[in-house]
Amino acid sequence: MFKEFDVLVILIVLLAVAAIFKGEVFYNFSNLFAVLELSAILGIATLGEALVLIVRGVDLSVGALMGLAATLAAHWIPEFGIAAAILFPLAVCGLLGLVNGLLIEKGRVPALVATIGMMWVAGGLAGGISNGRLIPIGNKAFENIALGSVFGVVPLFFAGLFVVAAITYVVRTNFSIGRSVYAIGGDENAAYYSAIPVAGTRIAIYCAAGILYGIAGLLMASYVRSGIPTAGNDYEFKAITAAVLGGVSLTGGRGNLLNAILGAVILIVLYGVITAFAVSPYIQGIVQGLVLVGAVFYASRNY
Amino acid sequence: MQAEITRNRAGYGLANLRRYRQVFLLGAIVAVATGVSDGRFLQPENLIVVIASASAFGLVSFGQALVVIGGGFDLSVGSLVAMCISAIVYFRGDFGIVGGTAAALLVVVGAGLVNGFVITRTKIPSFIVTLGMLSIAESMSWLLAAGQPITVSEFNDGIAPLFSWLPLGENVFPIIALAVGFGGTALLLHRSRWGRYIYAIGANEAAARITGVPLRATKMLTYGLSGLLCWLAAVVYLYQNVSATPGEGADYLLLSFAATMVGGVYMYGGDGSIPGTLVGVLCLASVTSALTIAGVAPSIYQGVVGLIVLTVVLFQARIRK
Repeated sequence: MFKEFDVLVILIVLLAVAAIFKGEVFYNFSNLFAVLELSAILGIATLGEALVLIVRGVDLSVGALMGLAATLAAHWIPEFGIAAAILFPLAVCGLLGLVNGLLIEKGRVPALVATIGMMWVAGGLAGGISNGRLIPIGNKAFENIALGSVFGVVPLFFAGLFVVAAITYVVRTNFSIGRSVYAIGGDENAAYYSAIPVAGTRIAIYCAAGILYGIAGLLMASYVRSGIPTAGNDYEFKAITAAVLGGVSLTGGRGNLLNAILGAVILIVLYGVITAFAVSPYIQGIVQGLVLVGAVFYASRNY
Repeated sequence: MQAEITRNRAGYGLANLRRYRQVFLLGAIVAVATGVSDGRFLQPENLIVVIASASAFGLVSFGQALVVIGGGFDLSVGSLVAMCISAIVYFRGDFGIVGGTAAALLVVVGAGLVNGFVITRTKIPSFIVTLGMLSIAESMSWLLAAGQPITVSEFNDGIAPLFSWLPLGENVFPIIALAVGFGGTALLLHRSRWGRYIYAIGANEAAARITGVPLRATKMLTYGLSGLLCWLAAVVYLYQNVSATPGEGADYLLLSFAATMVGGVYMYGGDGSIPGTLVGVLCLASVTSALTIAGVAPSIYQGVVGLIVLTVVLFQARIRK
């Protein structure tokens, strides 16, 4: 049980380092609020990526779909109002996720290639809609998704992350798809001969992941109060790193979704600590790369 | 296995028509481009410009093709180009432009070899290792340039006058560089022992190991060469653009994947060719040129390219099943 949570140690160490050396910079309300909000955005995106990794796929279209959702929302709010501007982008992202799944399962295109192609298509759509520019969002209700809070302390965002996590947890434990996801990732042939609909489940997972990226993109748009086509750039990288940090196996079939979210929180806290130490911001990418390779190396010793 | 290798080596003889489907695609793209541009696309001046514009990402694509045919992925290529551009500027201060370019060569080939080393010594998948390198190289490109815009005019000042007596002489150097990269990688892959090793590893790694193929050395070679070609691409980029912002060149990752895929390189390794990749490169360059002539907004270029790639890959995956 405790071995499952060995990543918690990293989180505690990071928080302790921040407390000892940079207490006043790191532990103030606005910084913690930002850390929680960014954790929620990355956490939801990571949830999608983790699901895809568990069925032994990989999805690099995370950031592009986030950017597309943000752009579409900003584009549609003036025309259709807030409800439609939230639902339509999610539907589009779900649809593109579905296309990912169909390409991979029915078209036999390698997952890496199909999702890189989708990255371009979604990026091109977002760039075409916005002409490559930022679209400001003037809608108070939409902005309040990010600025609002529960009990005045916990960002609404972070509460939203728990709702999404709770839904995923219920599906995981109470429905057959929760088991078949792990069965497919563990041994595809065994799953096939156990009458698990392998192709259908994978396609559904890619579709669900697309919707989750869309939600993350909308939260991002609300947080920065605008639709930026490139807002999600690098998030595929961050989501994979977070999922691996949370113990999701790149070879499929293993990984706890709640730990994956914890991985996202750790990554954001790590960035926060780096920023608090005010070293060159360009160091972040180097740390990011080393963390990713290191985490996979740590995990790969057990394969 | 031997039959497989022979088939691949014979791939650019007049073996069978299906292997030439990329050429048909290129023909179709050229025809459409000529149509939408009222024939302007086919003007010799435009064709030369198109080929020269393909030079930098074409060089990167040849490296990518070597890695992919060998059964791996190199996601770090674009960022290695960016890092190399910054490294040239960084080392120019101490060693002059020639020494600085040489030092940048060491750095970027070193980075490629680190990729290869980690991939061959651990069980970490190649796309994770090179994704990590992507992030590190991108950061390095900002660090080495201290976040400042980059200007390197020496390549253009030094090389362009050599060909100024030719019409469109400024396009000669990029085309020569592309030809050198093409010739070198094609000879290595299609006419040398190491090329056969690369095919063997990509087709069936376990079989290759048992047959005595030097697995680690061959893989290190492909990632190292990928780094080398990124260096050449960086030089061509600076020759053509003179100035850059740190991190520029990252687009070459996606373009190199697109070119290799359109060029018929099999994404699971073991099949594909350098001439095919060149055709893929020319396809993408023609599409970009045609879109520009047709007046399509640059912001949706990548969407169009993505659609083309997905269609072609879907088509190829169907043929193979």
